Amino acid sequence: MNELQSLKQRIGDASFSPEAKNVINEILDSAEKRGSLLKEEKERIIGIIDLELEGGDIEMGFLKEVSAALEGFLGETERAVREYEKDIEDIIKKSEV
Amino acid sequence: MTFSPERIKKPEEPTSVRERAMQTGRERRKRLGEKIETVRDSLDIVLGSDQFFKEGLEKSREALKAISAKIGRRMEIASESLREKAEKAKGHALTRLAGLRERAQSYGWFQIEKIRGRIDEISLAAKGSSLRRELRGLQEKREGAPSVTIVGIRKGRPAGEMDREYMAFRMDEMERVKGIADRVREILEQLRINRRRIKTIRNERRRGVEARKAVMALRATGIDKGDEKRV
Repeated sequence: MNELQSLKQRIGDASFSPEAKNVINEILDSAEKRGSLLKEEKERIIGIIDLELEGGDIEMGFLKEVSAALEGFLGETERAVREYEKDIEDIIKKSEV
Repeated sequence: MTFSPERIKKPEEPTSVRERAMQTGRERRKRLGEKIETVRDSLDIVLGSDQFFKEGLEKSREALKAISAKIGRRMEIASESLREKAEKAKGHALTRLAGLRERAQSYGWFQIEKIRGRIDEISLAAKGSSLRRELRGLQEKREGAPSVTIVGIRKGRPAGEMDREYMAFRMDEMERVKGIADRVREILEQLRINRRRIKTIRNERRRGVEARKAVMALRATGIDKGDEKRV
């Protein structure tokens, strides 16, 4: 297996988006036919990979921030429920004495 | 634990302020032995107790609203903070995505719209109109708080009856807050799916970085070193 074929396999394993894979594979196919990879083609592949990575980072950062905010809010609601429960228990205790 | 308003025992002989005042009046009447003085005293006491009764209820109403408002206000602040954080996270993510858009277009990369779609969906759930609706319900409930608290109860009406009314009110409020907590858990459940997504993204990233290194290594090695345009 030559380097281009090996690279194609790595790209396939990388779970990039289908659009990214299609574009990268098209580039690699033409490079394979030609028997070489042009500098511009490599830069294009790197650019696409960087976009995939950055997009993933943005999504991951957003999900983490929202999860933390929601968990904080849930903590507040659970605390309020505990206060209500205690309040009601107190009323019952007072009334049953 | 299951609460039931029926669990509250009714006092056998409810004693109102008025009754107690009348009793005091009777004692005075007996002690002084003067009819006119006794009537005047009794009248003063009765009028005084009425006033006291009204004030007591008014104070108790305010007290109950304050108790409810304490939790309600805290939740409103927490909800506002959640909305702000979700907005901020979305704004931050969209700004970063906008920075990628131009580059993405030049590569015919459509992933950006999919990421944006997921961000919209999640931030909408987090800012949740259903959460805000529930909180509004809590606020409206507070406005209609019954004129009862332990203070008012003891002064004016049979303790058991008032306690039950008060407890029913508190339980209703608690159920509303539980409803909000359930909704947040639902959203978090939704996000747990996305936590798996975070894990997937992390793995994808690792493999992506390896693929990038492989491309970079190709450039370093070169394929057709004879041509300057080819590396």
